[in-house]
Amino acid sequence: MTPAPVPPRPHAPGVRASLALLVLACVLPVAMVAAILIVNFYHRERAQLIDNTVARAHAIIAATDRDIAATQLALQILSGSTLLRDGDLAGFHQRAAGLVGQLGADSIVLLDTDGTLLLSTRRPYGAPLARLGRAPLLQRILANGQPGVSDMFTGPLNGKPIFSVGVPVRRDGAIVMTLNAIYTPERLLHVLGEQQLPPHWRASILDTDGRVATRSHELATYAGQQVSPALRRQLTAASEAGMDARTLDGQDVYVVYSRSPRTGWSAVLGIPRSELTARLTGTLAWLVSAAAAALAAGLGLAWLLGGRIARSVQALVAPARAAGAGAIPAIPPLHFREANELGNALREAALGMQRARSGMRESEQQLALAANAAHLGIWTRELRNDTIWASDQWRALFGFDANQPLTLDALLARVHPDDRAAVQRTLQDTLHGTPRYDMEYRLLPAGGAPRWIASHGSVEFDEQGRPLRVRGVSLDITARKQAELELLQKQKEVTHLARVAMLGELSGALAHELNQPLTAILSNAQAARRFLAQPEPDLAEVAEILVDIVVEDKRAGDIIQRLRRLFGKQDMPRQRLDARELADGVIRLVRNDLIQHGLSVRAELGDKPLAILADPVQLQQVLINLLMNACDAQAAPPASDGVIVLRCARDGDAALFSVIDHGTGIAPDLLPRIFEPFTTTKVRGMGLGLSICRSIAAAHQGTLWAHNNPDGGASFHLRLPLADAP
Amino acid sequence: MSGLVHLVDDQPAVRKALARLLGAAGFTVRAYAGAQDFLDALAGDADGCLVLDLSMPGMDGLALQRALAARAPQLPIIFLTGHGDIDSGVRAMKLGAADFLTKPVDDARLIAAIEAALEQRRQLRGADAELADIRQRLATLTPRETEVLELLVEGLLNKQVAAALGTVEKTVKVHRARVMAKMQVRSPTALVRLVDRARRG
Repeated sequence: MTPAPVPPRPHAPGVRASLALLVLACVLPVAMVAAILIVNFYHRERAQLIDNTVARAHAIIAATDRDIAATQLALQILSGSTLLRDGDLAGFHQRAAGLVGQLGADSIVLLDTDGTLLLSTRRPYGAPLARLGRAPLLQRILANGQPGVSDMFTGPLNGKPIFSVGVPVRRDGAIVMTLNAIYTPERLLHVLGEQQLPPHWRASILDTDGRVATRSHELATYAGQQVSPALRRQLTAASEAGMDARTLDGQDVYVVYSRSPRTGWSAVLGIPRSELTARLTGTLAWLVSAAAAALAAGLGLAWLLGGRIARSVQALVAPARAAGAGAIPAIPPLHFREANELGNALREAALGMQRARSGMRESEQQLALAANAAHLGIWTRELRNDTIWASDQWRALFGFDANQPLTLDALLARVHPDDRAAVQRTLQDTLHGTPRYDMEYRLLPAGGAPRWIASHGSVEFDEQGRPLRVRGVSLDITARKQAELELLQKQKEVTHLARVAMLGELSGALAHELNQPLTAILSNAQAARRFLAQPEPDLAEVAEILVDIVVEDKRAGDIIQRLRRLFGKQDMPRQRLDARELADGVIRLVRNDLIQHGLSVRAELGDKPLAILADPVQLQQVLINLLMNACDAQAAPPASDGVIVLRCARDGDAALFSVIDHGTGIAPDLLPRIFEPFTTTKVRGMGLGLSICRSIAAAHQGTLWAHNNPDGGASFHLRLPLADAP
Repeated sequence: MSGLVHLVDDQPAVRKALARLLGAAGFTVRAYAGAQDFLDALAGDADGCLVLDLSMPGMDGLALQRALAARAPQLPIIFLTGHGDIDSGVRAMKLGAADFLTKPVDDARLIAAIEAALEQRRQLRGADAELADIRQRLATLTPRETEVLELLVEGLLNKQVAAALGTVEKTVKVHRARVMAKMQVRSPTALVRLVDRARRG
């Protein structure tokens, strides 16, 4: 059966598209993973950078603190000067002026507690000075007596943004003055410079109020200016942190700062955002271009290779069609080893098919020859359109001309009317799933004698299991059928003859059997006559006698009936009967014969009915035959106990008759063939009895077998299915 | 007409019919279903006669006849058979059967056979009584008298007897007179006939 072609997928992709997909599938995930790794790496690097920057800011603010602390220490030493204690302000001015250069300060000023400038190294001693008033630093120093540093403020003398570092001057424990060093923003620049920051970074030191104390870029412009409120809020919130912000000169930066716990000043470092993301964008751009290049190369290669593969496959389409049509295809040179192999395989398949075709032609011819020789008619019936094709042999068999159209009705019309319904039913069944059939029927050819036909049909099904067509052969079996019928007739005759012969042997005993009722009848009648002859006849007794006479007469009639049946040539129809009753009847028939031989039958018939479907006459024949054989076996030597057992018992789904004797048994060399015809141990005997018995058993779907008993004698068993057996 | 008839037949219907017939003919009938039943019921030498079916399962008629030969030798047996089986009939008659009839049996023949058997039995019984009497008389003789009797029956004269026994004639004469008296005969001829009868029986 040819497999149905697989329906093509509606949008089956080409080789090129498939390969392109493969390239994409290979490159894109790798690129994505790389991107994720890069971003991840960037984040770690950025965190590292920020950490480093925080450390730098910390270093800057620490350096600032040290600077301020050093100035304070120097001022404290100066404040303890005897010149100041002695009130020699002129000498002190001179001394302080000498220290300004060492401290790198703009100037040193002395303030009394109400903010009056007592002296400033920027002015010659004695020159008039402005009054500062109660500046915040002064207030703080007076309040806690500790040195301090001011926020940025505009210098009263030079008008520039400055800050001052102040220490208290004590006399007898009380603060009488403060000594301050004034610094310009440039003073702290060196702290930033020490960190050697990248040139684009913005670095500032802010006072507690967020004003620029010094700045790496454009210091002159921004010194003393306050940074954005957002940054100021952040600065007060934590001592160290980072955030996005915008510098005073308008640059977007990432700000990192560190605040001094001593002074409250902060070092702020601004990393330009563009610098921070530059490496990431650079790496990502590189990655994207590399991935794009790989994709382009891969797709290009896919296009090229896909084209080659597609061409190689397409080049084989035509050869495959040619091979299918039976030609030997020429295989063009191909790009791939596999395609070449496929091409060679196609070529070999084509060669093989050519060979197979020629072989098939040969075997078809042989088949046709054989069919002709065997008078086999071959036919095919297409069930879809109900057309029939048949070989010439078949047409000859059924009496159709070579060109006569064949129809089912025309065919059925030639079937014997008695068989027509059965044939039609069998043919009909092929439409409903019967996979095959065998039938025998008669044909009535126009003007000819009936012919017997054996027909075998086999149904072919389609994919869905629906019957498609029936193929078959028909054969004229008239001769065989006649032989069979004759054989059957002969068998019947032989069986009947065997029965008659058997009954002949039994006749003496049967006569005796008949004698019993006759004796009873005669004696009863004569007794009645005597009763009636008496002067006062006992009529009740006479009536009873008459009843007995009737009973005995019927008994005699039954015996005669039974005999007539056994002698009858006609077989009885199968009927439902009780196996025990059958066995009982047989015992009645042979009882007297056995008695004459000094034997007796022990009937073991059980107490439950065993219904079987059987021909009673044939079964009686079997049982009588077995009992008589047993009788002969016992009679030869003096019998051991003279008892033959006839047992009737249920054996599963069957009734089992057993005839058991204790005679001579069966000679071992004879045992395997006692059921074969013409095997006998009797002087007078054809040796047909047991073979007929076995064929009767077989005709009843039963079995008959024999074996020798361990304690002597032989047993014969007849097993017949029960009428109600499943 | 009367008498006792034993009837043995295994067929109930036949047994019943025959019993009825013989009963109507005036016999006393005892029926048995088999040989063994009859033997079981048998006490001593049975009276009457036996009507016996020849072929029966188990112990058949001939076997019963053999058994009865020892236990009841006086019982006449009339056989009934379903077959005209000559072999069996000859054997039965040799063994002393009174008659051998085939079934179905005519009542006249059967009754005649039974009556003949009973008559024979009766005669047999009379002869038996006579013989018993003679034997009883013989039993009263002394050993010496028996010796004398034996020799006298041989036909010896008194003188010869005396010589044979080694005694005198006078003594023999005394013994002879005693034997004659005990045997209740008057002549030597009658004595010889008596002894001869006793020996035959």
